[in-house]
Amino acid sequence: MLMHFAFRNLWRHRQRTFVTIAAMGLAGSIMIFYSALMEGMLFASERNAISMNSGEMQLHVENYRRDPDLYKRIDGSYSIINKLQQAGFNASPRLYGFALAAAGTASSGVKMSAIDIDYESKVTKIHNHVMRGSWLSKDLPNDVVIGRRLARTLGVDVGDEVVIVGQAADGSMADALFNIRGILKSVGEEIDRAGFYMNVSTFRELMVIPEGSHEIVIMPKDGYSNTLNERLEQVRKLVPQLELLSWKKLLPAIAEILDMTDASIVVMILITYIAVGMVILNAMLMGVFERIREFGVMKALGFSPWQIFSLILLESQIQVALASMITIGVGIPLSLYFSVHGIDLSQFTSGFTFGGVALDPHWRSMLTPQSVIMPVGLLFAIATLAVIYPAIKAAVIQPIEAIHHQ
Amino acid sequence: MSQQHRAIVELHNITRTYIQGEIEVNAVSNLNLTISAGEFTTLCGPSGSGKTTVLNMIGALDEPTSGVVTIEGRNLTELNRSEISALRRDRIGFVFQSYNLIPVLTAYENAEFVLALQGVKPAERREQVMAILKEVGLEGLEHRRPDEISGGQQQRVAIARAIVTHPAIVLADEPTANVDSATAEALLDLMQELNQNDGVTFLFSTHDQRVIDRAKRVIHLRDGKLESDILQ
Amino acid sequence: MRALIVSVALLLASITLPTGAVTVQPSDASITRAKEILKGIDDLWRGDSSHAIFSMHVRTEHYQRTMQMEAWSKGKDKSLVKILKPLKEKGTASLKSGKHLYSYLPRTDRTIRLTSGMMMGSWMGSHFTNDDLVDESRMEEDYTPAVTFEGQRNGQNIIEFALIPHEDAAVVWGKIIMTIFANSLLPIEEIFYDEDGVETRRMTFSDYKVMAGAERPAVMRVTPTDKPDEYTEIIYEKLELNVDLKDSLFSINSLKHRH
Repeated sequence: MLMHFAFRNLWRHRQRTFVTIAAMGLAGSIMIFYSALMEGMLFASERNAISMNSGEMQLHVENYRRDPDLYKRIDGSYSIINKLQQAGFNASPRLYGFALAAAGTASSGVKMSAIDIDYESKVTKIHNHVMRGSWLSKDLPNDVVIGRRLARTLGVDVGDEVVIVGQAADGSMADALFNIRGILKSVGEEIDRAGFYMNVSTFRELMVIPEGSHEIVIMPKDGYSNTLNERLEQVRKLVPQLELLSWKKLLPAIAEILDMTDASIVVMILITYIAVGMVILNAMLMGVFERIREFGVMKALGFSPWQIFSLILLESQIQVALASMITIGVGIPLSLYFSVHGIDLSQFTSGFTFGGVALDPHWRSMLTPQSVIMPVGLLFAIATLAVIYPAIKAAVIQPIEAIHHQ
Repeated sequence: MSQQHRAIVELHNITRTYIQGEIEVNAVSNLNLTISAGEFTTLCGPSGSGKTTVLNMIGALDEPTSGVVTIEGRNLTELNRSEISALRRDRIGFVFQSYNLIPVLTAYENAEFVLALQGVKPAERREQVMAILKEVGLEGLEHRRPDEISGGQQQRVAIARAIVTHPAIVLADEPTANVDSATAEALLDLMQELNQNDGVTFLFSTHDQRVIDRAKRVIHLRDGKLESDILQ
Repeated sequence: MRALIVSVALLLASITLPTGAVTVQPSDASITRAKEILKGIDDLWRGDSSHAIFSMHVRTEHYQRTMQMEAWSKGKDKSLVKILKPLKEKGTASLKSGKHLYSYLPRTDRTIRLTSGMMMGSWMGSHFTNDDLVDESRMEEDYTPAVTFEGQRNGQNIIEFALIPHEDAAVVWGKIIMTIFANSLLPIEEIFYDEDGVETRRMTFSDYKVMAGAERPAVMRVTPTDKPDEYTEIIYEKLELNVDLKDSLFSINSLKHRH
């Protein structure tokens, strides 16, 4: 009976009903789109942060991270990598060594990073971040790619030579002459200042390390997604003897910034919702107080306070339900469109950083269940909260006052 | 006969005090009154004599400061909110000066919804509402909304709404105040017929002489006190 | 510091210790006494220049290797070390000139200057740091000597010194304890402590024999305290003092030349 009554009331006040529904629905759509844009930005930041260099997780021998030592190596790294590949991961071995690089009269300490090109390209995207020149090639063992600040310190550019002096694993002097093949874009403080990338075979010969690697970098084959903890568990079971760290531990500063951003996005969404809530509250208040006399008559004729309250609540819920359909019907396609096409910011900037992470100038939204559920859920919550006060007011009003309320 | 003399409304020593500014005003003082089934009675007196207050208290829209109101033997002060709501829904019909129809509902729906509230089945509702609307002379206007019909017709809808539930008493507050003379006469004819043919009990509050002339019992109030109680 | 001192002939040249500033912390008498003794050592062993051939044996957890080197020094701030063996590293040379340290790398035919960031790195894979090679002259400016013990120890007459850095000196060590024979003034042991007073490494001298006309220790071993199984040992095969060396020997150009 009340349902029938509620629908009829809404239909008879259809102009107001439509305006309210449209306002809520549009606000909801914008919220979905806004959430999806924010999720997209966070996702891109996270993905860029991990795909640049760190990968999603890394394996090391116990304590390597705390005290990196040439001799703390993972044995049989390629068989571990095979195992990981069968379990749905891409993985790449790396070796590191510290040495002195010199060019002309300038010299600087460097962190040599030895990578297996074929494996590395499936795991990280650092090969896409060459500013000048090009990335390493398997056919050119004496070519290296270095960080941009290191290049400036050494006063070198693509095509120049650089000497490396260090100490090999057998205590002998490790020295060799390299050609600079590429200079990286800004990728992160350490790599910019000291990054020195070379082929793994070159490094093994230079440093007299025929086997093993210092690090195995891991990315899931299906790309980055939200089930990090499950995958950590999976890898931990596969390789229990090694120390496993997720990117959140490897890049704690970035993880923290992204977490904070996540929280601040929630706050921004809440603030926007409060604004939307005010609009809804106003619509609901007007909708009820305009009809206060009507409710008074209904009470006089035998409606109980609870029935009045329920009727008003029901009317608002019907409106929110319809508004949610608009919200979903407009918000999702809008978000999906921009998740494919992105917002092109390239005319304003050639690339921007967010939380210290370089981002693509195409800002893409990303639709997650959360970016739909939260706006719709909050729409219901706010509309319900907004209508409770006027509904109570109408429910408890004395019919005699209401009838004389013109 | 016993049916005719059954007491519907009893007021025992009713006082209703309002506070106006810092002065207490007795709208009604120490009033005793009984309305029996089948009556066609009017409360009259000048403005401020307390007649509307008395009507509101009988309709459980207002409460006395002291004294007891009973409707069909039930003491209103002992009823809770939902019992009061049920009492108004099932036992009392209201006709207001300004009609107070629900603007979004048609004539038919205005008369129907109290039945719906009582839980009467749709088919039965339809039958009863159509019969009542025919009885009050609104046949063919069922689907008009209040703003699409005249004041007299609106008041007929209000009367139909008041009597469709077969209440113990219909309380009518200045029912003829907003209509022209001819319409007023026609409405009074209708109510008189309902009283005579169907035994509907009416209690009016008015200073309209046409109503007073037709009443079988006229109760005069002055300054909240019973001045006279005359059977005509 | 001492490493070079020693390695390049030098125990002696180097033990020409402080004559500089005085702090009041240890008793003035002990400082005066220390300076007297050190003056004596200086008189005994002073050599303006040196030429030596020595082998260096390095043993670590991960490897063990032996190199043969030839070294020249002139004054306190010029020295040159060249690797003779193994063949792979032959010709590799380190030149100290003033406070700078240069390396010549024959495989790439390049000379590089070591930056301050590299100074604490290992020198030639040994337990000496690059800093040890250049630190010598600063020693005298930054530390105050004081005699802390004179008398019998293990049936030998010895003198023990403590070298304490000045309060404002930017130094690697918090304290150095040095023991010498009282009669011959030959070194027995040096113990190095870090700034927190924790023992870091120990240098011991042995195989005293006559070289360049006097008795001197032919073997010097450095042992890091936290890795007692590791060491670097320098064994003198040949030592000449007060040889005639041209300044041009200690130039970047001469790094490349074979001798």
